[in-house]
Amino acid sequence: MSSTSEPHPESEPVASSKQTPSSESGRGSNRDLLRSDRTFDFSGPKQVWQGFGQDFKELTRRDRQFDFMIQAKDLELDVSHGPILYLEGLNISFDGFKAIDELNLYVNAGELRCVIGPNGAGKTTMMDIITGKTRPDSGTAFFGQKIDLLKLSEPEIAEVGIGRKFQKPTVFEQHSVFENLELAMATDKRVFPTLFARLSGAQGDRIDEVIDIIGLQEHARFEAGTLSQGQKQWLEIGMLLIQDPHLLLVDEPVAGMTHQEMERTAELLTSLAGKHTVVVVEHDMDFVRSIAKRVTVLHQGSVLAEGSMDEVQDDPRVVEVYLGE
Amino acid sequence: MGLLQPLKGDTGGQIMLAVLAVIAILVPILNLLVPEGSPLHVSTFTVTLLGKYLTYALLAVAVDLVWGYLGILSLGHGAFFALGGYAMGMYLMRQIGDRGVYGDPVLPDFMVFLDWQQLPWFWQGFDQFWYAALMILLVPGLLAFVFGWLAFRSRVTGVYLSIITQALTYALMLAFFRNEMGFGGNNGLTDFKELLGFDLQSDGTRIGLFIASVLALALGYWACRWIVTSKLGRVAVAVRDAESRVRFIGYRVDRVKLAIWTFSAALAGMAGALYVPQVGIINPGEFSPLNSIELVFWVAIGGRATLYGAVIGAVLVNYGKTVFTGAFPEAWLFVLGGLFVLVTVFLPTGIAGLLKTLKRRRAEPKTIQEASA
Repeated sequence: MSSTSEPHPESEPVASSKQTPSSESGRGSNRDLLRSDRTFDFSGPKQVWQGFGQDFKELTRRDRQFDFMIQAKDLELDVSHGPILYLEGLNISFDGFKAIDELNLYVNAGELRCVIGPNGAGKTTMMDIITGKTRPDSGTAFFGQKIDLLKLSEPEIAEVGIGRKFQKPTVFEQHSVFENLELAMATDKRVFPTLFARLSGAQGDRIDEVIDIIGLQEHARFEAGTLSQGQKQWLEIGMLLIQDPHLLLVDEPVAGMTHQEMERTAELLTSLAGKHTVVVVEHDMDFVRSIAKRVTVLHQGSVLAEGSMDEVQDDPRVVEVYLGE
Repeated sequence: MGLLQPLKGDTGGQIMLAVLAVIAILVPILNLLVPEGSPLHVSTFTVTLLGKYLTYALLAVAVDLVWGYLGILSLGHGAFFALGGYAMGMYLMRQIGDRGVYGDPVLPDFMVFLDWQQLPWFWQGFDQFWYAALMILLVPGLLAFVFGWLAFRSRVTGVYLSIITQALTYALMLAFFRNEMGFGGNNGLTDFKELLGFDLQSDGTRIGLFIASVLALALGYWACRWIVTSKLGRVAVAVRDAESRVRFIGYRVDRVKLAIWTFSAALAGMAGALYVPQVGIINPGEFSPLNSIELVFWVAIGGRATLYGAVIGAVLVNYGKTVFTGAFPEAWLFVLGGLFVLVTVFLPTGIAGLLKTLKRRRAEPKTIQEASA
């Protein structure tokens, strides 16, 4: 399988090293040279060399690249057909328990999508598959039309632009809010470049910008350990944002928040949609209602219903799952 | 300006370096220029003792770098110190030449005694100072690199790592005790004559070694500060506080650890190399696990993650050791143990932490008065 195979046949492959039919015939003429009943013909070798030449040309075309030479950071995100995330026919079972069962989910670029569902519906497992933490038994997961997520490792997936906030916020408590963001920023993260790294003006501005977005201006120089639970959640979102991901996966962002903090988080996530694609997994229905345009309900590892909050709430199947019989 | 950048905001370190500069100037004057009968005279014995404390201080700084800032509690840093010491010892042995007891121009005494015919391959080159100097940094550094590469890559952390470092130094001790290893076995390396052509017994050489120790400590301190104040230093502290989170952000935690760990080991090796000519002997006892544990005490007593605290701790504890082992030799270990318990219970941030608290307390009444006025 090449990493550039696409879920939709109509899109163009970006790189291939397939041989053309003409080069096949060029190689075939090679055998003729060995025929003993043939007088030596000088046009023969010429053809052979032409055949090889075509092969060689084909292999060294500068506008193409072998699949295996392409690194994660060079993969281009292609969302020209709308969706940024394609999950198709995903299956995964743990010791016979089907955590994900024929899951199909499409998320459009720039969308703010909420995923809800009772405990054990497979929400976190789905996130794990997208971020490469767990591999499905079968099915496909594509980021844009060209990036096959099932072929990439966790850091590579982070590199192509999928960021994830975990349920429990972990920030670096001994570092200031500013330093937390500085460490998370997308830069060269190898040892020696880090040792000699100096913060450029543009980088400093970018950090200030993110601090503005997450509303922690007054706390920028405070140690992250002194922040409230809600502020830590925002800092986490900020640390995600500063890595400039295309897709943000946000797991339970309002856990442990006061009502006011929840409102601010709703504003924050809504403002991020458009420029980024945001997928929120959340239990708190009031919160989901306040932010979501489209809601996906998961149940027993597959999609039960999808639509606006009102549509979903009126769906008898959803009512049954949530309220029981 | 750029050179002073790492010391910015580090009041404790600035004071410590200033004190170092003062004694680096005063001690030689008081030793060489003030006549022996004068009460101000500093004996050569004291100079050497001070020099020894300073090499211990450098070792403590190296430990504080990995323990205080990276969260790796090394109980085997004594091994790197001893390896640096052995590298220096081998150079000093080769300098003896035919002045040894057996008078062999090439072979050190213990080899003649063991009836060896020629110099083992790993002793080659140690007659050159530049080669020995290189080995002083390279041997501990390489060992730390290989050890760290294996340990950090398989994500061995916490107590398990501490135990392995302890095992490392213990294994080296047992190995160096063996005569077949070719490092003098039980007796180690001793009876040194001269260093770079200077007589090791002369006052001038002693002063020179003392000044070299001051410079090494200042330089080592500055280098550690430079690392700690760089972005890598902030990544290191983040690794200490939330290792898996750092990995998730995209840093290669194992490489960050490996780089700082290896640097720290080379620094410890440098301290060992300065220690050996001043005390005049290196033997496998230096690898003893107890030494490595004791030096963690120094850092804990001085105050973790401050660097200058490690210097204070190392000098104070070793001064205490000199005084106590002179007065009541049996009591010293009890004193050390008691001190450690007291510090852990009442001063978890060490002496450096105590100094910071006192400074804050002194500042506080003022602000209260200002507020009420």
